[in-house]
Amino acid sequence: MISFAFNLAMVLSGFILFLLLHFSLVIIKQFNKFSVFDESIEDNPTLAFKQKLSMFLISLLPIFILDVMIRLISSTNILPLNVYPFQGLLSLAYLFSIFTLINFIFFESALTKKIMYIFAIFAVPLGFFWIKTNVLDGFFPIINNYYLVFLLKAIWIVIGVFSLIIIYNKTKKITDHEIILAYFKSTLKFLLYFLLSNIIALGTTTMLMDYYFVFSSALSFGSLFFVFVMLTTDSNEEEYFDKPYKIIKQKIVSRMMISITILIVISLELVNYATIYIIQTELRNTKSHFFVSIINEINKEFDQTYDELYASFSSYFNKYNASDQLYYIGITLFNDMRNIKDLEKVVILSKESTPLLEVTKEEVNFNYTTPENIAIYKPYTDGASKDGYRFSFNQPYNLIEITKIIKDKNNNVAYYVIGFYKSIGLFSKINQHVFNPEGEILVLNNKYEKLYSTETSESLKSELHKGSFFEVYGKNELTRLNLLVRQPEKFAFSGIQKAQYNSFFFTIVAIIVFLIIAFAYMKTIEAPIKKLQKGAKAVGEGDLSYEIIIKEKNEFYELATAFNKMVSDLKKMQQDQLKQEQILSVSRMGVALNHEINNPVATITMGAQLSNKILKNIEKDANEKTKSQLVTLEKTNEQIINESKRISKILKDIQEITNPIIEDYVDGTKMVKVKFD
Amino acid sequence: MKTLLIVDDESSIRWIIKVAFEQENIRIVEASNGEEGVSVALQLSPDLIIMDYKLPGINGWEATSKIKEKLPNSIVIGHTGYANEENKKQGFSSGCTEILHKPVDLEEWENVISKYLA
Repeated sequence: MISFAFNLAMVLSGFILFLLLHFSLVIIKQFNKFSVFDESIEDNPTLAFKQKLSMFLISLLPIFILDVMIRLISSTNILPLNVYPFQGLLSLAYLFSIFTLINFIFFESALTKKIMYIFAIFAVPLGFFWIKTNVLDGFFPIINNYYLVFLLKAIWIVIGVFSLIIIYNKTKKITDHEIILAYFKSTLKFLLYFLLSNIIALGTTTMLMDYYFVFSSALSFGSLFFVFVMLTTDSNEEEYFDKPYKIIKQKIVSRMMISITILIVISLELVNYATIYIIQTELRNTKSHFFVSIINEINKEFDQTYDELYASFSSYFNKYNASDQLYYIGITLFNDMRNIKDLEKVVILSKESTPLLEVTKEEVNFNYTTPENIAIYKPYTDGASKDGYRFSFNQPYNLIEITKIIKDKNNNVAYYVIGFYKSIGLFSKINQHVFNPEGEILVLNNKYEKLYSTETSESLKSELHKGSFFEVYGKNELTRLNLLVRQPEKFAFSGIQKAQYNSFFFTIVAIIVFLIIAFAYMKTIEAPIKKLQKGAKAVGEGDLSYEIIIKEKNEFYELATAFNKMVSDLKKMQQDQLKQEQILSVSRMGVALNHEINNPVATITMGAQLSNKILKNIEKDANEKTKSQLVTLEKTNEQIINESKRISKILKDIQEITNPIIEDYVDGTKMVKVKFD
Repeated sequence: MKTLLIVDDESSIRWIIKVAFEQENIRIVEASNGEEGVSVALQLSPDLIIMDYKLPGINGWEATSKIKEKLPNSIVIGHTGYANEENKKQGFSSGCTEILHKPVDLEEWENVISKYLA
């Protein structure tokens, strides 16, 4: 059932991935529509501020998406049981592609093509991993319905192939490879940090036994290191002034990556916990899964050849030559020879039934008399039936001897030593963390009668008889013996439980650590946001001298800078407006002067001209004395006319100065520009 | 007998023109604002109208266009204190035959009046 859910989740996650891609493209289209990435609005402080603010908000979006994904994955118990190393590689590959994707979303304005291209780059190795893990390695270890598995795999592969074809067709049209290379490199840098940190972290996590846990914990610790690296790699200050817009984008991306990493770490811990839970559940459901592997391990050792065994023995008995060793070993077999009637000789055979050593009764008797041999030898079974097997325990060498008792043509009984087993190895098997040392390994004959047991504890015996235990049978082809591994249920999963507690502990620690980090991070966001809020309020109330001071060089610094620029621009605009208002009132005055003075001046001029005209008429009939007086009057009038004309000229000059303003004034609209020669 | 209508809120200007140009064969009538100017013009159909731009109520150009609506053949001489082209353009488009810029001296008036009332 879990496997089915897992398969389903894998296929669904594929769809989700494509859906996410689709939606991100939609969002990007929206960005282009609203010109969020338009750098030309930089000179408009209000728009630039809005742009930066909206970019900051948008940068939070992928985190929410990832959060949703992680919650989804955690709730569906996705776990590829036998692909831990691939799991790690897959995670890295995904991480890499996600980083690259984010890089592209936030660094490029013409995105769609490039995203498709970069997706294609990572779709190839990802596809390889998928095929490797799904098809070659068998992604689904425990499943009954193989048709379903093949169907799901087929669906997955078909989707993959189709998407690759689509992506390939789209990427053919892309020409701008240089930019792609640049961002590929930048992403590679992030990944390098990540891998380096993993190497460092690996050393600290060896206390966890399973290498998957080591790996995933390394990933967790590595992510911590990664967070540290991301926090400390600030771009240099010069760039702030050269390319402030680019820098703020980088800032947002890096801050976003930190948040993502924190989420990844937490989710990995959750996945760890889920992994253990699922292993346990699977074991409870299938029971024999792990015991079978133990039996196989034991059987492998039983299958060792004599040659191999003697080679290993020679390290114990290096003072003897090869035949001496055989002889010495042979001797120990026959302590109870005397209990068997009609015994003529003991033959030790190789696997191919070649006689390696023959020991006659006389020789045995001779050697058997050594008292120390009696002391050191301890038979494990009292005897063995004819045609049966005999198991004995050779204490000084920790050997379990498997001997077959047979009769030859002349009905002579002979012992054929067919195997030795190093019991240290046997016990070490049950000391594995997946198997409690309290367990028992039994060797049974064809009739499933107990020939040998590792059982030592009386308490276990009673536990075993309660019937609450797991047991698994396995046949050894060489000895044709049955091996039984049994373990009280109570102890069967203590190793797993230990790992589970470990993981639980680490999860708790990780969550606490990240809560602290998140809290600190939140605080770093909260303070500047409050400052910004305060500033916005102050400016809203009309205080244009307000300045937001943020010392830390982060995106809030950029926001504050943009805000301050906006405010100072507003202030400048206001001052300009004031100045223009002043000019406008001067010009209004000019207009009023022009009109108000022009009329009287015109009257004066015309009056003088008229009176001169009249004077000239009078002059014709006047006497000399009156004439000279009239001439004086005429001259006076000329003076008036000249002076009036001078006033008119001055007024005209004023009008010319204020001319552009008057234009707009006449239209009834407010003046916008002033032009002085 | 020709009729000359002066539309100007400045009584001094009206007076000067009246004194200077009132002859046996020219009758001079006055109006002190745009509305009055329009109604007088419509009553008397003057041969020449001297129209100031800045007037209380409707301005000179508006008055001109109203007069021109009813009396398309009437001759209107505008004069304005605004020196800009835009104002002049508006004046012409409202129907002024000529536009003089203030201050207009007696000679200019003589030229214009003799030109249109000869």
